[in-house]
Amino acid sequence: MDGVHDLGGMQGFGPACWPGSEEPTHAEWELRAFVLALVTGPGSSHAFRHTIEQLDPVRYLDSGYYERWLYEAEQALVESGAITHAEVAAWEARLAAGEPAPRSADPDRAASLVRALRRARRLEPADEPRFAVGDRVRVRRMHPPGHTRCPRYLRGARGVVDRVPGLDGVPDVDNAAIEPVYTVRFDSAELWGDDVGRHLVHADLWERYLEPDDA
Amino acid sequence: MHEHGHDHLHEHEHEHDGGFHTPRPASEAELRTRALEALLVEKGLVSTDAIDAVIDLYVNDVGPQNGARVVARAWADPVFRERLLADGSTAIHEMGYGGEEGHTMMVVANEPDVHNVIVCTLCSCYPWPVLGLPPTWYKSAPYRARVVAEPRAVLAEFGLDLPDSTEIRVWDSTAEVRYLVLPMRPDGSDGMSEEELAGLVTRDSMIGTGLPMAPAPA
Repeated sequence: MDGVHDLGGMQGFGPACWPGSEEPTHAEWELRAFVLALVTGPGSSHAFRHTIEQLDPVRYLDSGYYERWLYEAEQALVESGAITHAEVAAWEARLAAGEPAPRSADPDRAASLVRALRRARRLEPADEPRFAVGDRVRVRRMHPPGHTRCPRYLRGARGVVDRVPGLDGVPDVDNAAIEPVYTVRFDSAELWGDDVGRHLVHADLWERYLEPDDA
Repeated sequence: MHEHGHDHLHEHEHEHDGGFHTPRPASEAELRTRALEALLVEKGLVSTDAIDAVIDLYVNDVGPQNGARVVARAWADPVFRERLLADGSTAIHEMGYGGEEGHTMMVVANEPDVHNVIVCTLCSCYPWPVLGLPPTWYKSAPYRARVVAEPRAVLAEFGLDLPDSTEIRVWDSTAEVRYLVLPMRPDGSDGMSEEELAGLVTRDSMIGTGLPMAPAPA
């Protein structure tokens, strides 16, 4: 979906860094919200991101980063039927009234969770990619209603295939649909005209986002 | 491209006190987080020690100190450098730095006239196993919006003024490839051990918004 999360090229947001922005987190609850989202997640990064992208755009911009993860964690668990918003609200009331939070321990599960997060995997190589390194391609015009990883600012732009990193699940469908991903190189003038200085932008794009540039 | 000067910066300062960078009162999100955790623990869907263990992983074990060791090895060992640039995943995984958000790694090398910088315009993709969790600015709207369009102006705000002759290469992490910048080895670091070299590597130099530290004069 062409949501407000798709920020590339937007203007008016102010300075890129500011005092305090060097730190990854600023409070313990942010780390706990991060971990809750990570360990209860839907198992697909595409589903995870799409939940956040469906936040109301005003709230998306108005939320802190880990507020969005907190929202994702609760929303995904509600949608899967594991919990209800009312149950979370009930615990809010109990904690606010001074009731201590329950604690639990399951050392084997904790250890296997950490092992899983440290496990190294990688994309499988693409044996017969449609495009080769050096091919000229153009990003398709599209307006997808669901999740996509094709940023707006690249639609319609011409670029050159720089690398073929491998096969990956297609975000717009699900992880079961696998196709080659290409690192495509774009000249800044192709994206922004003469309004910016010269530089190169690279992005990783699934095969279905691209068409041959025959022009 | 330099019209985003200091006036612009001051004009926006107030927004960073009460605008979108500052979440709603922390207590609200904090209470909701505690309530969600309490509910999940009560239902047996997570255990408290698992949450603590994962926090410990990302606070203490996984962070830019890992990436610094990769960079230092590449500076010290030309054969490793070649392998790292040809197949970043294998070279980095061999050093024990694999896992979530770092499966397929691409290392991009700075050169005398080439400077690389990484971003995720769509969310916050970042190579956790080698850099840990991203700084707040990396996950925020201004950096994500601007660095693909005006990298020179953005880098200048980080104190990095690159000559016009330097080619800037921006890498937008739109798929599952995660990028790491291999900065250039600083002058005056000859003869330093790999461990000493790792001490010069900053997090921002591996994102591309900074440079490594200069060695202390002998």
